[in-house]
Amino acid sequence: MNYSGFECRVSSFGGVMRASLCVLSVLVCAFASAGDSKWIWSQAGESDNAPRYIRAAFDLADDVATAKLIITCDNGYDAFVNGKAVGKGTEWSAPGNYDVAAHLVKGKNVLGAIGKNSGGQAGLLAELAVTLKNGSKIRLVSDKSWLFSLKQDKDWNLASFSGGDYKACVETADWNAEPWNLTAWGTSAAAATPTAGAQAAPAGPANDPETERQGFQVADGFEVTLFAADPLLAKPVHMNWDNQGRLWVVSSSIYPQIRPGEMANDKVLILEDKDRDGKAESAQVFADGLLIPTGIEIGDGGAYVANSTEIIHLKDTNGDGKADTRRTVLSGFGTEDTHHIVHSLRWGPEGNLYFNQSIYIHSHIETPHGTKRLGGGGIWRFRPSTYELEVLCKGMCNPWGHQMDRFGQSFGTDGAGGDGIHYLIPGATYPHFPGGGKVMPGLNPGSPKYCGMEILSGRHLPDDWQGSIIANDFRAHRVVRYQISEDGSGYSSKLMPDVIKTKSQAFRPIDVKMGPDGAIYIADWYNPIINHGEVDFFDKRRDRTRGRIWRVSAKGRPLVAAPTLVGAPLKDLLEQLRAPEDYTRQRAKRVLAERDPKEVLPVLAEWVKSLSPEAKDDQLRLEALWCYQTLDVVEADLLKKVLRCETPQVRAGATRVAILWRQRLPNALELLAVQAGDDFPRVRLEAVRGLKEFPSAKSIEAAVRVVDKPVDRFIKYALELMIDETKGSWLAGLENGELLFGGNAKHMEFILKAVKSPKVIKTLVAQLNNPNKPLTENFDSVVDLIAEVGDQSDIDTLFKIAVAERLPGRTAVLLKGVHKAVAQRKVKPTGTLKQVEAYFKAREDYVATSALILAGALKLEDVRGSIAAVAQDEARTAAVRTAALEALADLGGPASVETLKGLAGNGKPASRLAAATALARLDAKLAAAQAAQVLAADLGGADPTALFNGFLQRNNGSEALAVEITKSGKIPTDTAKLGIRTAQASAQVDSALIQALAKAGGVSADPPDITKEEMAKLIAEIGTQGDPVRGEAIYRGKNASCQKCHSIGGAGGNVGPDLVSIGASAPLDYIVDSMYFPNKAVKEGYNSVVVTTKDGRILTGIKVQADAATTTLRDANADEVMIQNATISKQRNSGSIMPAGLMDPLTRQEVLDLVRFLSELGKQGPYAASGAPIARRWMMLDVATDKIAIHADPKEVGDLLKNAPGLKWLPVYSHVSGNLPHGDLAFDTNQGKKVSIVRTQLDVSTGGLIRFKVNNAKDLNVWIEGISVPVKAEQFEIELNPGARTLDLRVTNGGDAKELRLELVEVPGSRAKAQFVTGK
Amino acid sequence: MAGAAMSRTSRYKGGSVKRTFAVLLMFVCLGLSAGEPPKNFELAEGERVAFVGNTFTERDQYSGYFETLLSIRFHSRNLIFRNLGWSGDTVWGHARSGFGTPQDGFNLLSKHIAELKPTTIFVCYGMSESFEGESGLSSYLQQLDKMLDALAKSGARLVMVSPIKHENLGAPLPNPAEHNTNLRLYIDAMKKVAATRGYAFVDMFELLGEGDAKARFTDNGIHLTPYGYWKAALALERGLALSTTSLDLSPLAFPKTPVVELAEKLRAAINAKNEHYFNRWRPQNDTYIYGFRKHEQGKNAALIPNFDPLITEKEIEIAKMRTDVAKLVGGGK
Repeated sequence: MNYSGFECRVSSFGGVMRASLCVLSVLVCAFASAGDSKWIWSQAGESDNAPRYIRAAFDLADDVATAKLIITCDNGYDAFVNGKAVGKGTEWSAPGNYDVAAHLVKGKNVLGAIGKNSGGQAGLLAELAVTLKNGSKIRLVSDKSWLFSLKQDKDWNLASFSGGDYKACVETADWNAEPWNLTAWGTSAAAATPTAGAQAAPAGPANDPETERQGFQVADGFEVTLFAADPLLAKPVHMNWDNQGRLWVVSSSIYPQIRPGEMANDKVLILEDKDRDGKAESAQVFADGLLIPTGIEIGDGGAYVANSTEIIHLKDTNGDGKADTRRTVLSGFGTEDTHHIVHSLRWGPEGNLYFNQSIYIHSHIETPHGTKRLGGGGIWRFRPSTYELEVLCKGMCNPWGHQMDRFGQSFGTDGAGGDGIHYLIPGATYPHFPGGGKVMPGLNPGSPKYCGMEILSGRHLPDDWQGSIIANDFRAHRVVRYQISEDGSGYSSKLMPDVIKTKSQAFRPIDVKMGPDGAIYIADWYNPIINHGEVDFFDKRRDRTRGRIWRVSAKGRPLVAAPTLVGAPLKDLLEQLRAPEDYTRQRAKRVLAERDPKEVLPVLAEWVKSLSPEAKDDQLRLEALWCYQTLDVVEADLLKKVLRCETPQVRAGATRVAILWRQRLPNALELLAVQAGDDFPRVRLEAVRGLKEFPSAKSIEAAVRVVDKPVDRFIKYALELMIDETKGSWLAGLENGELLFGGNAKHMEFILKAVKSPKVIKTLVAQLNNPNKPLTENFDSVVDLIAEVGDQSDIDTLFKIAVAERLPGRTAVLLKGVHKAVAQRKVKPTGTLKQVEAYFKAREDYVATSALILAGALKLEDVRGSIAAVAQDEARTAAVRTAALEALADLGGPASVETLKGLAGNGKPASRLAAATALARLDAKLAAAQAAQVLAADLGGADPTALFNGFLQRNNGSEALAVEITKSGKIPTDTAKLGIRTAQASAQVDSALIQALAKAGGVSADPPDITKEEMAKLIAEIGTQGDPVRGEAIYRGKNASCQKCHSIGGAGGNVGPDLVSIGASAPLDYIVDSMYFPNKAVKEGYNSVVVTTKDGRILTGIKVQADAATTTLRDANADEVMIQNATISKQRNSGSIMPAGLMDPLTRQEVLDLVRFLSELGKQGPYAASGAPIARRWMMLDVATDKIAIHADPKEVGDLLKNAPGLKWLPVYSHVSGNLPHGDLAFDTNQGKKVSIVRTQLDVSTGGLIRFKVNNAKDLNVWIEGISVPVKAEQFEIELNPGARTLDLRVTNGGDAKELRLELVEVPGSRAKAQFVTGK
Repeated sequence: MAGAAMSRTSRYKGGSVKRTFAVLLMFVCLGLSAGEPPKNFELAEGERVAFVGNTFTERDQYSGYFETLLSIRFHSRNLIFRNLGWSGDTVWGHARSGFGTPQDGFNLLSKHIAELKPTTIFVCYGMSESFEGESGLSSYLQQLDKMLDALAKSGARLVMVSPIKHENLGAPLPNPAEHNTNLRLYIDAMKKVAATRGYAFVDMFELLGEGDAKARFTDNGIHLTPYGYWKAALALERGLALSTTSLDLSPLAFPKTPVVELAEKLRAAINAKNEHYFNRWRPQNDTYIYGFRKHEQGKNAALIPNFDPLITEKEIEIAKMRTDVAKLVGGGK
């Protein structure tokens, strides 16, 4: 393989810049340096690996009190102070840390170092920090004032020395820059076992909190101050405020892995700010001896702590501030991955304890109510007093954030998924849950990953921040804010300007909580390394001693006086439930929970009575209900009142209360049935979730009434989920005609579509077959459903309709439907099947293709002649002929073998390749011989990839091909390269085939390797020579074909992970490694599965869903392939689906550009993740294959766009900036005018007036759902109903615009909510 | 000597004949009456004892009472104790299944047993399963048979230990009456299995019973407190027909006598050993160390055996201390 780019690395390094002679007088200069240390080296190009003698001379005005030298060199150093050897080192990532006070003198001094290099980029980095007896402090940092010589002169490292051939050093990089990225500079020499609250980490120049703070860019009107920092605490993981206003923090220096011999000694710390000056003055170690604690919540006289396999309760019974009892509350949480273990503890407003686990965790928890199990991500709900434990919702990779708003609604964030904020519906499944199922996506597809979240409330913050959600983009070193607004039964969430952003590589915000003073507090894990998959557990760059808590407050707005809750009289405590601050209301209920219920209840009843009957106190009545829940007392009368109160969000909250009390209410089902008809959509949503708890005909009849009112995506999801969950209790009734939904057709239709029962499918077939009232809505999905579950007579009917249909778009859908039934379930239609032959001649390729494929699957011998004729007809397109060839292979038998052999032996290379590919299915050996002949010839540009795949995907196919290629001896180099690449991409990597191809093509098949030095060199050059602008073009180009599988901010393929913040999260070496060696580190959820079927096919893809009957894989083309489990002979897990060798076609410069581009993604700057509502995913009309009258007047074009389902569209994506370049579009020219039509989709969740903005309206036409919309002053608007809506834009090339940009703009007063659809 | 880490299986190669003999001898000496408490239960020199089971077993490693008592009682013998308990586990192997199926979990346990080569296994299942009630009993018994077969393959003597009684702690915790009926049903059936197979059986349901209002045994009805584990250790000893110990390690007893203080140090060493062993056999991040992401951190698998010398070190400490305590307590072997 061609890796020549790496081979020249040594010779190209350093160039031949000659050192300019430097004057010695700049020598004593470094004292005043305020800047940080630089990596320095010589300018000389020669003798790369010869030692450099480096010296810095300086004067000291007094005797020395303390002096610390920190030094490192890539690859090694010997350090001297005034000629005295003080230390040496050979591991650049572990700087030496030396006390050199004894060697320094008042007057002249010299710091000397022998820097050594063994290849690749070299550099030396040093800092000397001196305190003199007179109190002054001096810092000397490595920079260009330091001198070097290639010769070792006598006494070169003494102050008395002068002369020699010394020149000025060159600064090659900042201390924290690539390729070293030594962000932990100054810490690495620190003692290995940090103890929070005790041992201070050595002061590093860049690691002091104030330096970090100075680097923050803070939202307008806000400021950030330090609440606590190392050495008061180290490595904060999670935190919560207690009833007294103290901050409890769990801290782990062991993370990510305990080392043998290291005792588990992670801690719970209590930080206290007694004088309320915004700075903690003490940190009490409440507990130690813990193993990677990842969550804490305070209550029941102590603290609940997530500690690896368990949740424990720690209590201080003797009042010395240290826990003295430890009770295991729950055990059996999995520890498959320490960044996944049980975390994010929090109280719900109703007194339940919630905690989360991440995707790899398999938990098995014994409780007195039975054993509860959860394998995968999700949120648990637990009632400590009764030990009731259940799953609130499932999914998300790393659900590291969960908060509830003032009405009890839950929101979550995902630290590895890209959907931004998730609105959490009880019982729902969110993306990435193993095994899939119906999934509810998050509110912001295409977002970066977030850790922690908080909902803002309270008087300290400005009005427009109330109810906002704060989340931590820990990879990109920023804290973000989302504005949340009502959107039907759910919410929409919009990204606002950043709260904090910084270039500091170590700022890792991972938790956020509102404090008792109304300010926002952020836990900063402070670490250059965040993950543990890609970087070694024990990598020295991992910081284990630092950590910060930051306070974000609004400038000029008074803080809130922290409430006194503990010890407050009951009445006062209840009055605190009026507080606008969530913290206060929440902790007031915790205090209440610990008081004697006998005393609380009468006071609570009085308080409820004292409330105003008006709507303004509805919220307080909900708080009262939660108090009763907390005390575990069912208060049915109050509940009944609140369920029907005036404030809609409160009614929704009360509905949730009714659900949790359902077993103790006499009439819960009836109450919920009423809620299902509520005017407010969220109440209906809650009711549906509650009704599922009563599986019966009665409950489904009550629930389905929600379709009488607008059904948005949340309600639709909830109802479909309920149907799945409860159908066992009523399906029989539906099938035997007892359950009729009162004859309500709308109710019936929704149910029928959802249940997919073969018996009830008859109704849909009848609808489809009604010539008087042809089905127009959901045609595709109805056909699909019948294909999936219809019985013999249904499929017969489907076929009958198909051959009678005259609209080409519908015909193709019907033919595909019949094919699906035949191929996936072996249900073959009966009747005059030959009728399908008529469609072989269809003008539309997609109709002919569908008909041919169906004929093959039906094994229609009597149309064999026509099929063979199509296969040989040079006038037909490649797609149609390939379908005919596949059909012949399906027919099988000697006749097919003969025809295919003939076609593989003659004709143009492309047809020969296709014929040989089809033949491989019938006779691999014969096909291999034919294939080897074609491959040996010049393919004239024909792509052999499908042929290679054809063989690789047959059992024994690739072996046969290897034999024949070896026999034939020689094939063109490019063909061999393509073959090797295809074989390497295949999960069934066949080394025999690779070797045969390599030999025949005269290329190397050795797996590439990048040495440490090569990597360092490459990384250095990426920083200096890589161009992100060119890189983006390469990313989008054909050679790298990145977009086919990856998206950025949701735009692009979904085979691989979204790369929206890859640059901010992954070190450069990781990016480079992943590109060259995709199998080295596979992102969670992207491991492929290889399935071998009983009929000898091999299928590879990522498992997207699996149930008892079927397994669905997403293959490298992003096609979802469903396999009947019964046809699987074996399956195994494999590595990445990303092919190796994708970098081969790129030049070295292109690699540098591409990596540079990727490394910028998500970092502050032009490639930062933008949450702006811009259309990024487009389809452009393929004007080459579909000649349509796209130049016609808008009315005609609109009709065409709406009614021609056979139009061919090709995916195209906007730049990261949001602009779609004209250069990427296909234009058609008519009378000198070049036009292109592009399409994008909008998901409207709440209907209303929607406004769009374009960058240039000149010569622009817009259609929405085929209706022409006028564009005025770069804007257009339209009223839209909920649902997926299609926008078509006709752009003209030749004007001013070189690119297209389309974004949503807010319409004041409109309730409408919409977002552009993302994906492939 | 005491401190051999069990994972160093090479130490025991070639010892199987002797071991089988020793086990046979033990059965003869003990005069085991199947399905009943054994008479004069003894641990012979060099025995390796494994505890297999669910939450009851897993959490016992933090109490260490039973192991402490056995260590003192058989102080002159070199014994090795290994806890393979896993919260929420069943005879199918549910809790051990990781990313796979219960069968994978079952196989994993078999693998661990094969590596440990125990001579005695305490088998403690049935709590999770009993929630299935009468309708789940027959499939439980079927699978219990498979589990016992798999464990018996090791050649170890098996001692079956029943689940404890579901303690009635009053509202708001669930009323345990129905669950206790089911537990009894399961336990009686298990007892028959033990009898058929000739295994010793300890009926913890009966022997431990329930605590009183002053001192409960559990904090949720089914999981023992430290005090509960102390009482359970005594019950286990009774179940094995061992003479009453004079040592009172009850966490509620106060003040602590010098001998109790010494025994507590021994128990602390035992618990520390168990913590090392836990990290040895169930390391965190196993997805990266051994699993499907081992291409990332698999190199660190080499570090895990470094827990073995730490275990050995603790066992040397334990050997010394148990003799010191035994001297003060008197008796024992």
